Parts: sequence; C-alpha cells; structure tokens
Amino acid sequence: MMRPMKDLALHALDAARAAGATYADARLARYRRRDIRTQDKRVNSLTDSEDIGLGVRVVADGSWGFAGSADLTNEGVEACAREAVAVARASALTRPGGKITLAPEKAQVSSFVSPREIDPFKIPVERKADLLLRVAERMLSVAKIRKTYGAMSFRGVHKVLASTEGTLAESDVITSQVGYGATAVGKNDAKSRNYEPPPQTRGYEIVREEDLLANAQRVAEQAVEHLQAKPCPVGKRDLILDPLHLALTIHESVGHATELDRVLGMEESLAGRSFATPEKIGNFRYGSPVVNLVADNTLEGGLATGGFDDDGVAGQRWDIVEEGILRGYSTSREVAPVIGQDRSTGGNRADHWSSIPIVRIPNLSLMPGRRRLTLQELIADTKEGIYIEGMGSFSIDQMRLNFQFGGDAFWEIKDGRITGMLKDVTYQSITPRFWASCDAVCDERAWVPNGVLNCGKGDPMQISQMTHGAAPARFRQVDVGGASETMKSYRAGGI
Amino acid sequence: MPSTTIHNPTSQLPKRAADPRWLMDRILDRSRADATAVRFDAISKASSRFANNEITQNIVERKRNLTVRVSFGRRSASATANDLSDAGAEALLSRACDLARATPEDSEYVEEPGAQKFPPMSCHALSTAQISPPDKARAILKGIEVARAEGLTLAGSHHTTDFETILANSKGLTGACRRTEAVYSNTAMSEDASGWAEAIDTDVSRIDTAARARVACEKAKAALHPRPLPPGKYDVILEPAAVGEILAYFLWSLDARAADEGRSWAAGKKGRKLFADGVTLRSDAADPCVPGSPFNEGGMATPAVTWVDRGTLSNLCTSRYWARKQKTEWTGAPTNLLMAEGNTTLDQMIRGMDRGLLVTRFWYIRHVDPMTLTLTGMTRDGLFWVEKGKIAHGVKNFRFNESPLGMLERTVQVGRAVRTGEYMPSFVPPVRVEGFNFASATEF
Repeated sequence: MMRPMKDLALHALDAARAAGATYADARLARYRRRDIRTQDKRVNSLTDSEDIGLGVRVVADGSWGFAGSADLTNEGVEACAREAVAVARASALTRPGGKITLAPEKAQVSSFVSPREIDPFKIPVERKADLLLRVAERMLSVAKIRKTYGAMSFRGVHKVLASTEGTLAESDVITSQVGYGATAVGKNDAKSRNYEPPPQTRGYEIVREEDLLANAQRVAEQAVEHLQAKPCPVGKRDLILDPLHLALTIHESVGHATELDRVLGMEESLAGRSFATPEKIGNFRYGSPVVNLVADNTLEGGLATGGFDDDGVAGQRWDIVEEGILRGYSTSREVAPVIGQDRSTGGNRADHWSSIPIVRIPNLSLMPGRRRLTLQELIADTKEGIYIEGMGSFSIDQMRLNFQFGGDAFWEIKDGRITGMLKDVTYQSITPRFWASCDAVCDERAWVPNGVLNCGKGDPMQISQMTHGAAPARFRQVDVGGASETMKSYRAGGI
Repeated sequence: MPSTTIHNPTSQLPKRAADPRWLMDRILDRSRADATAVRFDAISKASSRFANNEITQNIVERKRNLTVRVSFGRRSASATANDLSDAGAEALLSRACDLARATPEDSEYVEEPGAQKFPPMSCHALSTAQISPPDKARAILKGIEVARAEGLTLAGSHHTTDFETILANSKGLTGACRRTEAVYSNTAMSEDASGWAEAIDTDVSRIDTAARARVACEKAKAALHPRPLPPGKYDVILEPAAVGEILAYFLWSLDARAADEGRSWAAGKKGRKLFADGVTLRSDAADPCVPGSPFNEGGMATPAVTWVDRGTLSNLCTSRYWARKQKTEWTGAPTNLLMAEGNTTLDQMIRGMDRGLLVTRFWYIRHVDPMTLTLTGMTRDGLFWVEKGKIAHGVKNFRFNESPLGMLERTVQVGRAVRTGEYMPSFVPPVRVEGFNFASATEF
C-alpha cells in the first residue's frame, strides 16, 4: 500500500486532537546520506544510509510532549500521537496550570526545493573515489607528507510538516560537502593543513574538480612548512582572520550567544546560558561600529536555508548586531513572546524525525566592509600581527564570554608583509572585548559563505548546519600564545 | 513539487518479518557477496529536560535500523536503513552490494571475523526500560522541590534508554546485547553561581533525584558571590566528572598507528613509566560498575585491556589491520574506562588540602596539540577555593591549558570511584593533582 506523506501527517494530527492535544504538529521526514572517505591512497569508508519516520509534537494540559516513530502504519501513527499526548500530560505534573503561548504565525502552505544542478546521489562512486584519490596522490608526492585524508558527504532531507493551525509545507534540501587534508611528520612533531571549500545546500556542482586538484600540492607544501614554522609568540598581536576561520568565531561567540532559548535559561543544564541578555537589545555594544552581523535564512545555498523552520515559520533576514549594537536573536514561536516579540525569526529546527525542534543558529554572517579594502591592503596596513586561516581548536565558556581559538594555518605579519609561517598559535579573549577590537573588514569581493555542518546542541544532542559568511577582518591587540608555555614545557619535559 | 508517497511495508508482510533475526538471516541467505555482516540496532529512549523549575522538553523515541556490510574480494561498503520490511532489507543488501562493487580495492582490507565469545554482560534493568512518563516526571519533581525549598532554580535532564544490538555475519558470528542506561543531571542556580551533580546507572530505581538536587543546591549556595583569582598553577582536587572528561581525551589519543607513524604524543612511549604509581587505567566492557559494549571492531568481542599499569603505558589501541601488520596484539577500541581507586573519600581529600582548588567539572574541552596532548577547557558549576581543609569560597571560572599527561604524572592522591562519563562511560575517582595550569579567567 502506498500512502502520501501528507495524508499520514494529517492523520497524525487527527489522532493527536482526538487524544486531547490543543496544538499539534507532525513532521514526516526522509533522510538520505552518502559519505566517502579516503586515507592516503585508499577508500577507507563508503557508507550509505536511508531513514524515514514521523515526529509528533503536541501541547496538552498546557505542556509539551513529543513522540517519534518509524512505524508508519495507520495504527503506528495513531499510537505515536497518543504517546506524545501522554508525555505532555506527564510534563504538566511539574507545571500545574502551565500554558504554552506560541507567537502568532500565518499557516504555512508552501514547498521549497534547494537549488541543485547535479544530483550528487546520481554521481557514480567511482568518479568521487577517483577524484579524492588523485588529490591524495598529489599530496603524498610532497616529501614529509605521511598521511592524507579526503572526504565527500552528501545529505538529502525530504520533509512534510503539518500542524493543527493549517500549516502544510514540504521541502527537499540537499547538502554537499568536500574537503581534504595532509599531515607532515618530522622529528617529534606532526602538523597538518586542510582545504575545505564552503559546504552548501546545492548539488554536486560545488565539487569543483579542477580547484580541488589545483590546491592539493599547495596544501601539502604548507603542511610541511607548518612543521618547520616558528612557535607562536606570547603577548598581544593584531590578528587578521580569514573567512573560514571567522565562520567558527562568529558561530561560537555570536551565534550561540544569541539563541534566545539559552538566553532564557532553557539550555542551562548543558550548553549553558548567554551574557547577551534581553535588556541589552538596542543598547549593548557587542562590537565596534564596523561589525554588522546579519541573520539570513533566505540566503540561496545557505546551510540553514530550508524555506521554513519546524514551527512552520518562513525563512527571514534580520539584524543580530548592527554597527556594533546588539539588535536581535534567533527564536522559536515559543520563546519569541517571552521577550515581547510578536513574531518568531524562524529558527526552530530538528535534526531528525525523532528529535524535537530547538532554537538553532541561523545563517549568520559578518557583512563585508563598506569601504573598498582587499586582504593584501589590510596586511600591508598591519605592523605586527598574525594572519590566521581555517578552523582549528575552539573552546568557549557556558556564558559565551571567555574563548580560546586556534586555526589551521598561521602567518606572521611584520611591517605590512607576511614573513613566514607560525605554529601552535592560540588566541584568547572575552567576546564583546574581541568584537570591539575589530577595526576593519574587507569588502564584498573577499566575502565567502563558509559554514558549519556539525553544530551540536540540545540534550539529547542534535547536529545542525548553518552558513557563516565573512570577508577577512582585523582585530587589534588580542592576547596570543596562552597555550604556548604548556606545549613547550611538555615538549621539553619529554613526556 | 510532486506529491510524495511512502511505502507502507508492515501491513503486507508476515509477522515474522518484524523479527530482526529473521530479516538478518534472510539477508545472509540472499547475499552473493564474498562476505556479509548484518547489524540490527534498536533504541527506545525517553528524554526529559527541565529548566527554571519545570519540564521544558519531554520526548519518547523509538528507532530501529539495519546495517549491512558486504565485501567482494577487497572491495567493501556498508549501507543502513530503517525500512525493516523484507523488501526493504533486500533493497538495503542490493545497495550495499552496488556500492561495494563500485569502490576500489582496499589495500588494508581485513576479512570478517568468525564466531566470537562475547563477555557476559550485566547491563539491563526493566525498571529503566519500562519507566512511565508520569513516574519520570515525578522523579524530576522531587529534585525541583528540593531547589524550590532552597529558593533556587533547577535545570537538567533525565534520560532513560534501552539499547538492543544484534550481530551476525557470513562467517558464523552471532551476538546480541541489550543494555539500559539512566542518566540524571541537574544544575542548581543561585543568584550569581551554580552547582551541579549527576547520577548514571543501569537501573533507574537506584537514582535518588532529590539527593542529587541537594548536592547541586549545596554547591550553588557555597559558590555564591565567587571571587576572582589570578590565573596560574594550582593544586587541585578534580571531582570524578572532571577526571572522566579529561581522561576520555587521553583514551582517544592512544591509537597505536598514529604513534608508530609519529603523529601522536605516544610515539615511542609504550612500555615506559610515564605517570604516577597510583595511576592504573583499563577497559573492561563486562564490568558491572560501568558496562561498555561487548562488540568491537567488525564484531570482534571487546577484550579487557589495561592501558596504564601503575604509571606505565602498557598498551595502545591497535586495530586488526595494524596488529597484523606490526605483528602485535589486537586491542580494539575502548568502550569504557576504569581508573583504579583509592580508599580516601572526597571529603577526606578536601580535609587534607592546605590550599588549592576543588573542581566540580569541566566544559568544552578541546584539543590544542596532539603531540603534547595539550587540551583547553573551562571549569564550570562549582569551582571552590580550599583552605586549611575547608571550602572557603567560590571562585570565578578558569580556562585551563593542560595535558592529561602532566595531570597523570602529577597525580598525588586518588579517591573512591563513581560512575560518570559525558563522553566515555567511566568509573573514575576524584584525584588530587599538583600544579594544574589555569591560563585565563572568565567573568562569572
């Protein structure tokens, strides 16, 4: 028997209503994923997965309940809905008289398909493997390269969302990613360099074969150079951060800090809270006047662009930080009204049919500088600094204040010129102090929509994705080298 | 977008198809691959979260899926799906075979293992598998009432999970394991400080949520108005959660191949006395104090392995391929961690400290450098100054840059172990460490 996904979702809503739900939504979703990984000159992993199921979220007795099931028979769908209502009633034991208020939203009747020129699931495995192995061969031809890695990952999510408020929306989103890296080994040391073009909600066309091959030797040679680099200085330096590195800085120090659920204490037990509390909206200096951070879930190819969120709220564009001042949050329909907002920004997303939607970071980007400025000009204007490329070590406290970041490659700047590579670079700061030290952002010619595919949040942990575009930016007099002494002492001590 | 339909399998299939073993046998019978392995995983999970003294998220989920791994000569691939119909299983096998045929030969291919003798496990409790949503909510409410009585707010989670895994392959390997886990974690919030406690058990009925809430509340009250201290090296007592978090990174760094290829701190270190005499670290999946998984690489039975024996690095994690190549013993990967305990209680350890810090737990630990195993992370939910054997006051949180190698070298006291482990199921004691390096401070 074949049954339309939409019919099943609507059947779940009927069952939830019959069981006593005052609000219900049903998400039927099919997930597909194919990963190919190489290590040196071999394919070390080729995996494929398909998964379909239903998540029913309800409000009953003024509390939330949720149940997920892969049993998509009529009986299975009804049992899932009834169980969600029973779970909601149990939640209500801790909040007698409680009430869930959702920000009003027009019913979403729409469909969304992410752009794609080439379906990655139709590209033969042989072609993908051949490309990654050719990249590996080029990297391994460089002396001292002892290990290489390559990976392609393709994910497809086809979803139907229906709610008792009349939402009936469908989306089909494909995400594509490719990247590789090399490790050089020397005496008592090993260093890596990676290449990660921006992952996007597009098709196989983002896998640009010529570009991947053209960069392989450079990546390998820079891994070797990294091995022979000078250690990180200790003290204050001007930092120029490249767009890929900034994607992670933005993600950790702005994205998570402006999720309204954690601001309100709902993530206290795991991810923590935030210093960016509601009374700061409109008056708190988050960064310097050149810092403009814009959320945009309508960005074409953006990793968080899906047409609508799992509250049925359409993708939007809004300011998080405008000319350095805190302006907004990512919200859900549940948390937006708590601070008096009359509409959710549409950030409630679940990573699976078996997960409940939670407030997620949107596509959140540092906007390009308004005056013409290239990376070369920015370096030329820097007397003593470090240019950091790519993502590395990252850690931040649970209020999103004290952070320490590493990177993938570090270049010493002296008197406006890059003089060589550094290694073991870390920098540490306090979020608003750091963004206040930003005095220049390159213009739109250097803006790149990098992103994050492994954002962990929630309990149970959910993994989400979002784009963080940026152009290179400079941060004045940041503390660097906080971990250098530790590394040096262990090397010297012989452990 | 065209309207989409889904196949509704269970209405047209014989009842036996709902039995995963029947499906697994069907796949093995049907497969024309040189080698085939099938794994069935089922998870039934009830997850509750609470914040600001009320339940904010309450979930029940049931997931079942099949994974098929096939090999043609040295070409192999795997595919996973949750369509557990006969047709779905056939499609799954077909997909795995198509992928395997398309992939290049793997120079490091290792054949499927034969029949295994799995360790006897004692890791399932019906009380955990069958706890009802109202009973779970009432248990959470007990903790919340403790916090309310103290004028504090409580946030946390209470998860109960029933896992089932069944393995079979074309070489005659069969195995099954059913395991439950209950995890209760709560954070109490006072005016400007927080305190935390957790309990992890196979049997949810052994978790006393009110007692855990009392510990969190006591810490939150004791940490009130935390004072700043300058970053630097301090003598510390790390509570078990903090120890488990750091040692998980230590265990993950023990890859023998990375060491042999010069890509890790452990290069050339096996067999050397590196750490304090009191440090013994081992894995034993069958230990009822903290059960691990009986299944390891490719379906091999997880062996009991001692990684550090009284300070000596005695073993590294060795894969089947690397063990064969290096003509050494296979260890597999650790699925749990046990650290040898001492006789001292945590209270006695605090009483025995003249000046130092008590660390409840860490947060956001990440690698900084694999060659020295330097890690960074933050203290969280209860950092205290200890003076003359007593907790003197709360301290604003620190960031550390430290290596577990140094931590284990400078471990001078080991207490009584408890079950913990955010990342790795662990049964570890509190430890006292000299000269732990805190590199910077935060504002709370």
